[in-house]
Amino acid sequence: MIALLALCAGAAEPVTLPSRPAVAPVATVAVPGEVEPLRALLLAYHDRDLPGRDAILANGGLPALRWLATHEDRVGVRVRALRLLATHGPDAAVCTGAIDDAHPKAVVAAGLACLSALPPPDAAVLERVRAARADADPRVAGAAKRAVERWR
Amino acid sequence: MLLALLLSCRPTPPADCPDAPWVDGTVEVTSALEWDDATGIYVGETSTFALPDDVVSFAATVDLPGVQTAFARVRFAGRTWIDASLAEGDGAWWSEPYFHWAGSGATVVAPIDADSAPSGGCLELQPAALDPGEARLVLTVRTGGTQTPTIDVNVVLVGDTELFQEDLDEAVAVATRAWTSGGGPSIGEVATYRIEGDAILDYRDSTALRATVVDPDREDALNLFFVTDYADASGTLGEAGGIPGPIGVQGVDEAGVIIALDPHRRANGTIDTQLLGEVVAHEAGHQLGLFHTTESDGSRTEPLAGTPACPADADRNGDGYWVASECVDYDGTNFMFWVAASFDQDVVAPEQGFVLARSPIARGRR
Repeated sequence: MIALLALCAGAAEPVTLPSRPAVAPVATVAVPGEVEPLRALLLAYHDRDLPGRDAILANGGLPALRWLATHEDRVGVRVRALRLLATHGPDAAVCTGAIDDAHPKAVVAAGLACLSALPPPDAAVLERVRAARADADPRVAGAAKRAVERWR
Repeated sequence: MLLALLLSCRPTPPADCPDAPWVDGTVEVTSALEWDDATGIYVGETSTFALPDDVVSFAATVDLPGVQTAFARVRFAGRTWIDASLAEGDGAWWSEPYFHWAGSGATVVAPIDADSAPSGGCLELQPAALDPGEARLVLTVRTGGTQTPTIDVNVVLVGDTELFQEDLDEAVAVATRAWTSGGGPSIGEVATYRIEGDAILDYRDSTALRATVVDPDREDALNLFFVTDYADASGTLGEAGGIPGPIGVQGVDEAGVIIALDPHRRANGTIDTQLLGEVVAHEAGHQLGLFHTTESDGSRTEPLAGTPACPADADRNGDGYWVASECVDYDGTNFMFWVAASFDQDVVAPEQGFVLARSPIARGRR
């Protein structure tokens, strides 16, 4: 451990942060009223406080979860919705929609994990999942590897 | 004449511990931990220190890398606050106000509420752990003023984690606005660093990351480690190193807060700086010794009498979760509520502000 500490000592380099580039605003989809109660639960500061099955059912149920997993603008909430969907009611269309490369990597990884809770997909989707094993992002590559392993 | 004058200026040693060293700043001792039948854990020798009359606060940490540590005994201001030999009652583990338990880099801070403000006199600390070994006991004592307090921050970007200056500035402003609303400190000097490592962090590596020595010249600054995301717990917003976690010391387990940035992003990649600032304020609040004001199931594990609690009948839809909107008339707007909200959480109760302002790593004017 002393050696580890010695390695760590002085390893932090002072840096100047870059300025934020201009980003064109993107229109977001308004959150339906029936989805808002579940969304409020998915804003938990800590994962251990995320809702269980009963609380999901009492707050809009799987339709609300599917809406959040598909349309939610905040990445953390969408990822949590996909994770909960994988546990409580994976939906092939929603999970597959999340693995589109246009989405943030965290969403793609959560989509792959969601897909892996289902039976093997059709050949085209399966090929995309296999290709994702080589993704540079470890979240995506790891989730794709686990999915392929599960379907083996 | 000069010698007599100097001697007259020396504080009188506390009667209960005349040989104890005075501490104003940081001291460190090591202690071999041996099995103790009375507590059922491994304990070290009790170290006794003399706190000056103008003591404001202290933080003490037991570090044994990779091992769950704890305090077997903590005594100051004429009271035993932690006593691992007790099964229940005042001082027992998991009793108010400390709710102390074993964990990596176990830490105690005083004050942790309005009643536990330290006074000049003896401080007894007995380190412990769930496994044997040679433990470090690090004590940081703050003296001086408490007016207009500030806490400096070390922002540490891990690997190729990306953060823009404007996003950091906005988040810091949100956190400062929240803390100061209740008499807490503002965030003072913010220094930014980058360290090698995985921007996508394996959760099991969290403890080792927090043990990084960031800057030996800024040990009294709060470490905020920014990663892109967790590899195996994506969606996690952030996590403190304990309640409280180690502060005023670097290079020990759990010495800092980890913030994952991707969960704070919108679909277009921009950071929600309001949420980021609230998460910084919340997780730093844990690291400095604050608990949730209300837990998700409506229960309360929090020693601050002055903090409003959300009542049982606030769970209007009966789902067993007390969300912020249901508790908005109580503590739903408090920055230590268990869940974020669609509205700002920038309320700090006076007793929370008292604890924050007197943190051992805060600086204040007389």
